[in-house]
Amino acid sequence: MTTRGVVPKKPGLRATWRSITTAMRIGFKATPSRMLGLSVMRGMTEFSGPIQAWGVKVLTDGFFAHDHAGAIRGALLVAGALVIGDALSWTQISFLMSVRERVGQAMDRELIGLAMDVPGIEHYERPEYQDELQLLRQQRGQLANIPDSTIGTAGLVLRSVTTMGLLAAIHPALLFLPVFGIPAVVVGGVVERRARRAEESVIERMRSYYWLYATATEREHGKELRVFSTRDGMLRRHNDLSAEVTGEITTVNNGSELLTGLAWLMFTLGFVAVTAFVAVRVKNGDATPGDLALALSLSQQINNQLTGAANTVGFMMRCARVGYRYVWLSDYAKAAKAAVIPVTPAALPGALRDGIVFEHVSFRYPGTDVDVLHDVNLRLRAGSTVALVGDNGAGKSTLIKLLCRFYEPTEGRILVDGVPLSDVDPAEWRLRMAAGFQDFARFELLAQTAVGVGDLPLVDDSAAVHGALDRASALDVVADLPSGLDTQLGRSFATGVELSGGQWQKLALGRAMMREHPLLLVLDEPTSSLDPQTEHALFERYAGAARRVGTEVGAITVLVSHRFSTVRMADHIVLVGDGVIAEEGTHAELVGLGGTYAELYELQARAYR
Amino acid sequence: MAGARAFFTNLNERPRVRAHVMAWEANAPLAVVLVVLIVVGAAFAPLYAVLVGTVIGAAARHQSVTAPLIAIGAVYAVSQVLGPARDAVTGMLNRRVDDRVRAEMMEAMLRPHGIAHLEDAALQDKLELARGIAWGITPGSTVGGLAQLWFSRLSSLGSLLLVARFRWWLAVVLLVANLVTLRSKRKAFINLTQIYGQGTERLRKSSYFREVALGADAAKEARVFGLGPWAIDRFDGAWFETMREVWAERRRGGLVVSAGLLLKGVVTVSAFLYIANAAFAASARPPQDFVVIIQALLSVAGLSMVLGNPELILEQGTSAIRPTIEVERDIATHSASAIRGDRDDVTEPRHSIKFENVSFGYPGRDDLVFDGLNLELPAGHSLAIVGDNGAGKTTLVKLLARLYDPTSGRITVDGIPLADVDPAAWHRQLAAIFQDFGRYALTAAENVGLSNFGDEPDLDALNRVADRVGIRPLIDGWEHGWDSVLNRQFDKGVEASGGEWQRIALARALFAVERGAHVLVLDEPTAQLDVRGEAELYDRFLELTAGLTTVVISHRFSTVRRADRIVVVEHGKVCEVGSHDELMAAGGKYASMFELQAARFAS
Repeated sequence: MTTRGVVPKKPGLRATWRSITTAMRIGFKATPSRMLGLSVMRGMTEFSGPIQAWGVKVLTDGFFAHDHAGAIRGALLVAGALVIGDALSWTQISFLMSVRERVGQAMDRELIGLAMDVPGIEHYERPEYQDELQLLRQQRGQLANIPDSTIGTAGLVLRSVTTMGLLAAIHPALLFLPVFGIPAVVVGGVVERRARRAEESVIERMRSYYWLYATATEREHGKELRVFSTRDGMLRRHNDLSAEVTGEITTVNNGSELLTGLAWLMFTLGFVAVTAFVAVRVKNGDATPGDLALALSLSQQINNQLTGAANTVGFMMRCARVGYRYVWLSDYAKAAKAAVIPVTPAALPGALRDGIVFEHVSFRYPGTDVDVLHDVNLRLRAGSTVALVGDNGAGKSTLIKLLCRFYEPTEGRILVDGVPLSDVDPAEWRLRMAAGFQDFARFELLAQTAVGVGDLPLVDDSAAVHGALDRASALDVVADLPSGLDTQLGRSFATGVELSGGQWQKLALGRAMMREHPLLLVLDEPTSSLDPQTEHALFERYAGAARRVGTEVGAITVLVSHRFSTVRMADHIVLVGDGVIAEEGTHAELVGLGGTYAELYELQARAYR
Repeated sequence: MAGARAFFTNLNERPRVRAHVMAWEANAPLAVVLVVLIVVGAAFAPLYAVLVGTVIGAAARHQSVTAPLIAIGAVYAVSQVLGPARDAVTGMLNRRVDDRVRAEMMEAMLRPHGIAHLEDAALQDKLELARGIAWGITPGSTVGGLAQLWFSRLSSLGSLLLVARFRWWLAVVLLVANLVTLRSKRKAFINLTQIYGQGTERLRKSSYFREVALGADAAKEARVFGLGPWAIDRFDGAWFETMREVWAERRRGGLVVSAGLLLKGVVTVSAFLYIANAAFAASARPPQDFVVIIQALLSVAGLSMVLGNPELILEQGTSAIRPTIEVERDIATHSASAIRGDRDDVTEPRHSIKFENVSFGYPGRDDLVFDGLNLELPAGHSLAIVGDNGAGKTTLVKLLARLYDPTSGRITVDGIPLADVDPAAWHRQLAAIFQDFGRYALTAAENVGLSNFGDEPDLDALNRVADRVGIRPLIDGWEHGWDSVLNRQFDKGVEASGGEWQRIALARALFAVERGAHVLVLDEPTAQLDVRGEAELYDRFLELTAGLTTVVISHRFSTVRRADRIVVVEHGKVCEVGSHDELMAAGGKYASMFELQAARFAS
C-alpha cells in the first residue's frame, strides 16, 4: 500500500509511551470513576486464580492430613475466590463497555476538535496528511481499547508476580518454571511479526476487495454498474481476490500455529519437571500433597498467562500504533494553530473603505515545489463585485483559499484596509465573511440547521433562514420538502429526504446568504448545478443586494464562474492564467483588449447566435 | 412435508443455528476436523482431573510416581498441541465464512436489475451490521465462539460425569444452577448487543458530526462559518441522549444476571463445602478421589464464567449474522416486484424508442414525477431534454435504462415493450455518462473499459476512445499508463482532476459504444469542463453521436442546440418538441429560456 503517511509504521518506545499516556489521560478525564473502578476490579480479579490455587492446596492438605477444619477453610477459599472472581468479572464487563464507549466518545470528541480547530485545510488536502486522517478515521475504534488493554497488561504483571510468589513458597527452585515458557514468548513475537508481514503483503488486495464490496452494495454507483453490466466481473474479481488473500493468510497462520504448538510442547517439559520435582518431595515427605496440587494449578495458570501475555501485549501495541497517529494529529494541530493565530491580533475595521490588496503574493502548496500563484498584485475595491475567470487549474481557487485563509501566502501579504490579514485572528476574519463553494457541503441535518449554520447565532431562527433562502432564490427547495424547514435531510437517516444536486447547491447558497453584512462574500462557482433560469433570477436579484451591502459596509463580492453571462455583470473582471493575473478590467475593456478573455467569451457567446 | 420444510427454514433462520450451518457450508471436511479436535480436547478435561488425583495420591502414599507422571505429561503435551490445532482450523473456517458472507451480500445487492433496493435506508443499515461494524466482530468470528462454547460445554459435561459418579444429584444441581446462570447471562449479552444495535440509527446523528469534521467535504464551510465548537456540542448532545437510554436498558438487564450469579454462588459454595465434609465421613473414599472431584468442580464452574465467555463473542457475531438473513429476505421481497423480462432478441433501435403515456413516482413517495409522459426518441438521432431543476430529467434516464419501471404506461423499442426485454440484454445496448459518474479505484483501463470489467482489456479500443475524448496524452504520461489506478491510495495510484474525470466518463460511455451499445445517454456531460473543454466537446458532438440514438441532458445551450430534436419537460409532461430552429420560431418556453441566456451575451 502506498499510503504516504507521515507517521512512522513502527513508532519507537517513546512514541508508544506517549500514545498510551495520552489515551489514559483522555480516559481518566472522560470517566474518572469508571477508569478507577475498572483498574481496581481488574486488579482484584487477578488474585482470584492464585487464591483458588492456594485454596486447593489447603483443601488437599486437609483431605490427606484428616484436618476437617482445614478442609472447610480450603473449600471456602476456593469457592469464595471462584464466586467473587465471577461476580467481579461480570461487573467488570459492564464497566469495560462503559469505559470503551465513553473513552471512544471522548476520543472522537477530541478528534473533532483537533481536526476543526486548525484554521487551515492542509490536513484535508495534502495527500500524505489526508491519508493519515483517513486511517485515523477508519481505525479510531482501536483508540478506545488502549485504556483497558493497558490496564489488562498491568493486571497481567500483577498476576505473574503473585503466581511466582506462590511457586517460590513451595520451593525456590520452581522459579525456573517460567524459563520453559521462553520459547512460547519468543514464538509469540515471531507470530506477531509474521502476521504483520502477511497483512502488509495482502493489504492492498484486501482493500481492493473491500472496495469492490462497498462499491457494489452502496447506492452511489448502482446506476452505472448496472448499465455497464459489471455484475459478474465484480463478483468474480472479489471472489478471486479474497480467495487468494485468504489462502495466503491461511498458509502463514497455519505455520504460526505449528510454531506455537511446538513452543507449548517445550513448556510441557517444564510442567513435567515441576510435577516430578514436587511429587518426589511429597513422596519423600519433604512437601505436602497440597503443595503438589498447588504446583499443578500454578503450572496451568502460568501456561494461560503466557498465552494471555502474548495476546494482551500484542493488542496493546497494535492499539498504541493507532494512538500514535492521534498524537501526530494533535502535534500537527498545535503547530498549525500556533503558526496562523497571531499572539496580539489586530482589529478589523467596521466597514471597508479602501478594499483588499494582494501585495506580491506567491503561493505554493506545502510539500510541493511549484508556485501556483506567482507575484500576484491585485486590488479588490471596497463595495465592488469582482469576477475571477480562467481555465481549470489556473489558480482561481487558490486565490480564494488565500482570501478565506485556508492557507497563508508563501510570500507577500494581503491587506484589508491596510491591516495585514495575517495579523488578524482567522476566527475573527471569518465572522466577517461568508462563502459558497462549488464543492459545497451536504449537511444531513434539519433543513433549518443546514442553512442556519451560515450564521450560528441565528441557527434556530426560522425567519433569518427564510430570509437567506429568499436572497438565494432557494425558497422553492424548502417548499417542496414534506415538513418544510423541519425536514431531516440526507439519506443516511431513515426519515431523511434526499435532494438533487441542484437543490443541495441552492441550500448551500442560502447558507452563504445567512450573514447579511459580511465584509467579503466569496462565491466560488456556486451555481454550477443550477439551470440558466435559476442562475439568471439569482444574479439579477443578488446584484441588487450586493450593491446595497456594498454601499453600507464596503463589502466586496468575489465570484468565480465559467459562465460569462454572469461574469460580465461584475464591476471588475480578473483573468487568472498560469498563476499570474493575465488580464483585468471591466467586461467592455477586456473584450476591447482582444486577449484571452475576449476569446473565451466568444467561445461561449457563439452558442447563442 | 411442507410443514417440515417450513420448520427447517425457520430453524435455519435462527442466527445461532445459521452460525453452525455457515461453518459447515464454508468447508465441511474442516468442520468435521474441528468437531473431532473439540471432542478429543474436551475429553481430556476429566482425564486430567483423574490423573491429578492419581499423581497426588501416589506421592502421598509414597508409591512410585513414574507411571502417573508419564501419563499426565502425555495428556498435558497432547492438549498443548490441540489448542493451536483448534485455533488453526477455527481461523481457516472463520476466514472462509467471512469471504462467503461478503460474496453473498454483494451478490444479493447486485442481483436486482433495478436500483430501488439501493435507496432503501433500512437495508443499507442491515448491510452495515452484517459487516460486524457494531462490535468489530464479523459473522465468521462465530466459528471461534462456537468452538469455544462447545469445548467448554463438553469438557464441563465430562467433569460433571466425574461428580455424578460420586453423587448423581450433586451433578444435577450443579448442572441446573450453571444452566440458569448461563441463560441469564446469555439474555444479558443479547440485551447488550441488541440495545446497541437499536441505537445505531440514532447514534449516527452523533457520529455524523465526526464524519463531517474528519472528512474534507465540509472543511471549507466549517471554517468560514466557524462550526467547530458547535459541532462538538451537537456530537456530545446526540451521543449522550442515545446512550443514556442504552445504559438504562443495560442496568435493567444487569439485575437478572445478578440473581443468576447469586444462585450459582450459593450452589458453588455449598458444593465445595459438601465435598469437604463428605471426605470426612466414616465410609469415605480415599482422599485422592476427593482431589479429583474438586478438580471436576473447578472445571464445571468454568462453564458459566464471564470473562472470555464465548457467549459474548457468539452473541456479537450472531448480531452480524441476523442482518445477513434479513438482507436476503429483503432482496427477495424487492425481487418480487422486480424488473425482469426474458426477451433477449432486442437489437439496436431501428425506428424509435417511445415513452407511451408513462407515469412514474418513486416507491414510498406520493407525488408523481411523470404523469402521462409521451416522448419519441428517433433511432440514430439525438434528442436533448431541457427543463428546470427537478423536472425529472434524470428520472427519465433511469426509466430508459430500466433502473426503474414506469408505474403505468410503457416504454417500447421498435414496438417491443421494454418490460418484456431481459434487462441485462437491454443494458448491453446502453452507454451512459451519469451526472454522478463513478470515480472508481480501478485501473485507467478498467475505468474506461467498465463495460468489459473483469475481462482482458481491449487496448486498441481503449486507445481509440481515449484519442476521441483527448485523454491519450494524460494516460500515456502516467508511469503505468493504462495500468495506473485512479486512486492515490493504491499502488500505482494517480490522481485525476475533475475535468479529467469527466473525459474518462465520456470515454467510458464511448467504449461501451465500441462494444456494441447503440443508445447513448449523456447526463450533463460537460459539467466539470472549463470553457475551452466544453467548446471542444460540443464542436465534436455530432461526430461523437453519429449513428447513435442519443439522449442528452444539459443546462448548456451550446450542447442542447446541436441535438436533432429538443424536448422541454415541465410538470412531468412534455410541453414542447422540435429542433432548435423550430422551437425558437415557436416562441415558447425554450425560446424564452434561450433568449434569456443569449441576451446576456449580446454586446
